[in-house]
Amino acid sequence: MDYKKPALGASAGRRVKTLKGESLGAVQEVCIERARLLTESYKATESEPMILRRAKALYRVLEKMSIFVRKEGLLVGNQAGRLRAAPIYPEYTIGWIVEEIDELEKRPGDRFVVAPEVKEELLDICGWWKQRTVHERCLKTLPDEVKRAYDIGVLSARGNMTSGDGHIILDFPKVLQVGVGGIIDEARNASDALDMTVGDSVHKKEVLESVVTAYGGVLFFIKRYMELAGRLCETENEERREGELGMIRDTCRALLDGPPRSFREAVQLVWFMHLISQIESNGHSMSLGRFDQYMYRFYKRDREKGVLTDEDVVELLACLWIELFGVIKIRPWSHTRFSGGGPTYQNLTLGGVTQEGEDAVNELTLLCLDSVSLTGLPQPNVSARVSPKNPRAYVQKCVETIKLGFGMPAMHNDELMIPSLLNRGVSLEDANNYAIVGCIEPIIPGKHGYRAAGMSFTNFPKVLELALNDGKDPRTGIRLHRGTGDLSTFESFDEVMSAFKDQMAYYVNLRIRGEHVIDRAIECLVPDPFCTGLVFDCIGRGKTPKEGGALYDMVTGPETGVTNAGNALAAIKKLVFDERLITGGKLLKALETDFEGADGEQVRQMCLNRAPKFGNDDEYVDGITSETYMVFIRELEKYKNARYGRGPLGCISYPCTATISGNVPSGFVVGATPDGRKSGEPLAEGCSPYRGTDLLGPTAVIKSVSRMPNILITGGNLLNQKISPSALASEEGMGKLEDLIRTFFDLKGWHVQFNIVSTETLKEAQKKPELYKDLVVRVAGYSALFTMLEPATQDDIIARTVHTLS
Amino acid sequence: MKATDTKAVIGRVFEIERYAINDGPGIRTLIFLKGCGLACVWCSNPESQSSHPQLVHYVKKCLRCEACVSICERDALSLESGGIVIRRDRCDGCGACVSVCNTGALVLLGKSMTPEEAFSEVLKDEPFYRRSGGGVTFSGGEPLMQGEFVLRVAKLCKKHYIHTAIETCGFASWETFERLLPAIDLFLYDLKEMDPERHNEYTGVDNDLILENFERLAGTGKEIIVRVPVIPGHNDRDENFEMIIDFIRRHVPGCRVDLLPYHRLGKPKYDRLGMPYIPDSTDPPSPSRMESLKKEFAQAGFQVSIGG
Repeated sequence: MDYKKPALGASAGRRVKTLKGESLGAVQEVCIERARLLTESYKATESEPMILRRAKALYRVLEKMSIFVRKEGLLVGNQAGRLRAAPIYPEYTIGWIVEEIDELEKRPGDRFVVAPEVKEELLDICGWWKQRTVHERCLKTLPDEVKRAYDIGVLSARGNMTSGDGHIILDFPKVLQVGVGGIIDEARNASDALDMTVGDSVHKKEVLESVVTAYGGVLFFIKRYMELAGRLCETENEERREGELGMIRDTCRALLDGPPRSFREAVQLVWFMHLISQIESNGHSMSLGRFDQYMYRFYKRDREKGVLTDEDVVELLACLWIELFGVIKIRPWSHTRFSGGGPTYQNLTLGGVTQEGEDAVNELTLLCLDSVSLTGLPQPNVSARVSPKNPRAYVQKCVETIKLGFGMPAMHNDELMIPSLLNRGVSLEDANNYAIVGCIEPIIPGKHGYRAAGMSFTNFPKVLELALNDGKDPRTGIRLHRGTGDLSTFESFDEVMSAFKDQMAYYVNLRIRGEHVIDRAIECLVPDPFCTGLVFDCIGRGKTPKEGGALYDMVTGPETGVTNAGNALAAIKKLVFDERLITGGKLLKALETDFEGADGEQVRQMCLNRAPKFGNDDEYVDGITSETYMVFIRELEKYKNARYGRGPLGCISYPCTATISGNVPSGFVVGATPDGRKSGEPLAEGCSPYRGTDLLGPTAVIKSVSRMPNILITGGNLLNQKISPSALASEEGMGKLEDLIRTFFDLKGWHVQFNIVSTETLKEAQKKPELYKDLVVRVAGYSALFTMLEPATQDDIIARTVHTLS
Repeated sequence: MKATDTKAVIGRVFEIERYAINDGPGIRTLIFLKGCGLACVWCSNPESQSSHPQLVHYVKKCLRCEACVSICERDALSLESGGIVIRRDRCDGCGACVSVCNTGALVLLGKSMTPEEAFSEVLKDEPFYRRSGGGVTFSGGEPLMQGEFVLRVAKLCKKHYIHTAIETCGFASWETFERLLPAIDLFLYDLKEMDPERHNEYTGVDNDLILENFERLAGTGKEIIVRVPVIPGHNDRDENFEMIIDFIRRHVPGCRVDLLPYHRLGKPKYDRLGMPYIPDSTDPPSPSRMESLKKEFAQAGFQVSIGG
């Protein structure tokens, strides 16, 4: 592979700048069109089977919604009537829309404009949806016990009841192979072949016909863009743009006729498919899979024919990433406030090994990285798979991208993920082919069912709090499962651990019961025919993914605060039982009062400083943290998900620490904890050490994380690390970061992502030192905790950081 | 087993820093040893100068509970309006106060360690050394003041195929150097000032022994990286650097040179140790000055980096 970073010409640079500026500058607004068209269709089809109603509704949206071609765009396909407008999906929930509609414009962040006539119509539409949404079905069918567990905050599944499943990767290679028409033919043939006198053929036929209808809508949608581009082309005065519009028109025409023949057509088709999946449903984490693999044959063919340059590729990819950024999801404020910037977690997976286990890095892999560096937008969420077989040039390109400071790519370890998937029964070929969905969760692209990640949140410190209080929640007073005593009565650490196990067993059971009910509601009320057409083997089985149509169906939901719970248990063991520095009763009292008063503060300081913390390469606390997670894992392994026995392989749940920003709200409901964390403070992020408690640098953190049961955490184990720009200033420094990553992977670490500590961060840390206790700054031959330095010294470091980056 | 191997050797360590990336090849662990024969006015690690344990107090962390005051048998501590005051003439570094402090506001710098204990800390990052070609770097202070301890730890490292480096100002007997030669792979050798009088003024000692050791070390063929601090108002003079270039070109032509710009990060440490901070008015050298120095050294055939 002879790769040279392409220089972008002036016109391409201008285009990228214009499109990016337009997308960033657009005012976010609510778009009524989808809700209107969907509801009209639903009203007209009330007597029909749900899956057909959904197909017809999607068809109608694709047929009637406003479409446009961006002034300088090379790709077409818009999610809503205007740029960065958010469609509404009333079939999942309407409650928060009705409640928050007047507030949407007044939010401190992620504001949405709602025109008065839109507001009126939307409220009217919501009126029709009353008693018809997934959320209301769930609230009616969930057992009381489960709902009360949600109230306590020990479990959380709100997102699952109020939006689509998402967390899936369509079978892009297939649609690139057979084209849209090929999917229709396949569904039609399967439908025709059904013996209508046996089994549930009637339902299968409904599913298959719904696929035919949905993809008919897709063709209609593409045809509309072809016509629009054609009309614009005719009236365009500028020759350059006329040519581009003609190309868009011809690209759409080619996609109507059959599978794509060129790289450009293939990119357009991938975008249409990815976009439509997000018009069909509003689940987030819809991901692109292994783009650098399935697009490579198009790239190579066009390059060999001499009809495509690397510069064209970077320009086109930049356009695609800007379109991805344009996918908007409007969410309730309770969710939005903790996920600023409206993340959509559209993951792009690069590198790693091929299905056959060989080095998969190619020119397109590097072009993807260079194009992402060029746009520097929060989407796509880039994941770099790393295998020992990958060339150094690739990993160094990743480090170069990391150095730019937007947190990408996240680095993933093939050598752990592949065996972990094998252990779950995935075939070697499919395990080699894994791709990341959402943040860090590996799934089998095109063959894995819905919501492979993002099931219920399980709040570990909350489970511990219940265990320390005889099963009673101090915040709400609810007691669902009586324990065996409280912290003042336990006589040994073993008794503490068994109380924790007991509560965990109870709540894992509730979690699974809740998930089965919610899955049932989604299966019945919001089947997705478009998605069904591009998940293997839904067409073969005549089933939606939710009914068991996928080859693999394994799910995971994040566990929050695992390291807090580990630290807390280690503190109890060390302070109460090993060293007897404090009695259980006194510690419990301090927790109840949130470490109030001078005595309370002394207890807190003791908890913070005299008990070891995860992230410092300390076997004592690392061992307890690992065991804390194992308590949960052993319980979770006892259950199957709602598709068990209905076709897919697996049908299990496995652990995952992709907490996204859920660690913040999860902390709200948890009182003071024995790790010294105060009531309501955030929990640790992923499996990262709790903020400010890892004091020995990244190698110690890596050693601690490597002690977790990583191979069993098939849903992904998330580590965020901060790094100072000076560490990456020289080529030597960049090489050392690669060595750090590679060693982490040698030690069977799962995932790591680096945030470069910017000047802004340092300035912020000066203002709010309590939030940046763990910030280590490094200068020649010397390192220090930033917040412990005096202001003048901090200023010196800030000045130096600016120098290093410039 | 030889008789010397059984003799108890205790090192006085004031910090072990992992993931050090600026003091030798690869990812390294730095062992900072207490005690130095020099007292450079610009020293950024003043806690390294004395070979005795030293108590420091972090005012920001203190809850003013006075647990430390009560437990001190030597009446070395008192609570004043500005926080705990340490009477250094009374403190013998026993550490009783540290053991009752919940907040970590009191820290005793200078831990006694056996070579095996220090080595077990080094070993923790072995996978990182293996991957990156890193290892251990002895620093200080002047590690040669604890030559026997360094030798023991370094021998353990070599037995485990771990790369060893030492950061030295060169102020030690040649015999100490000689004993270490088989166990140390790389010398990071400080050259600060060529003018003997000025050297004496800035560091408290003459530079003749330092330069002599350098010549002899170079003669052994051991790998040397020369480290030159750049301290405006002190050694930052063109003629000084010209002399340094001249000197090292004669002995280790083409070697690697790290130019270390002066920084003020040591200042708060002086305050905590109750020591006066002398170069208060000294500013760090400008980036352009560093670049022009880098150019000069590079033109003389050295591989130069700023900041190590």
